[in-house]
Amino acid sequence: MKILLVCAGGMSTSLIVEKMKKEIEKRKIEDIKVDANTIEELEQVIDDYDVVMVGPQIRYKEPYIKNLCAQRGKKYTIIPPAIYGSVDSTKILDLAINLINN
Amino acid sequence: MDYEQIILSIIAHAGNARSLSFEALQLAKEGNFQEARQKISEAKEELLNAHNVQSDILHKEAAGDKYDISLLLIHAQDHLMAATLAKDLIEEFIELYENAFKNKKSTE
Repeated sequence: MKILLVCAGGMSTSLIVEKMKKEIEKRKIEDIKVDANTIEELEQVIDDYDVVMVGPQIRYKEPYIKNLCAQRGKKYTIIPPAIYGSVDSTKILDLAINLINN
Repeated sequence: MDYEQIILSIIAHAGNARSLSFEALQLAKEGNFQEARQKISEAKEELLNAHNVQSDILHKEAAGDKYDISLLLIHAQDHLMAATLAKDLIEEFIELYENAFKNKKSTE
């Protein structure tokens, strides 16, 4: 299971990814990978992932993301601002796992 | 809110404001000026939310409670500035689009 978080510079999502990794360790989930990247790189790296989680600050790029994900057969979601702002890695991880499983 | 939550909530509110502003621009491009202005007023509210969070840490710092200046905090300020500029410029663009639509109608 490979999860990619994208935002404008990949900076704030890096912080969230670090927190998610700790959560994964805590839950002892194996075979799961989480990375952060910038939206500019999405097209080059999307094939390596199962699901794309988008930072709410680049929601205005949703038409582009929607189109790209449809082309490459990937699922995506925009992380709700309240969850993102509170750095709630538990909820973000649950959101990603649910998205992959459904 | 801890330090990271403060930073991320500035980014989330500022990002929301930027997204709303760009949505407003798209609406104006299509001639939906009332909806575009509605989006701009939502963007203004989000900017205010971001500023309120920022004011909190500024007040604390003024009171002697110093925060570490991290790259991430600078990044949050960058987001806020970009969002503020986007909102201000897009408000002008909406006016330009509106004038262009009016001129087009009067020449038809």
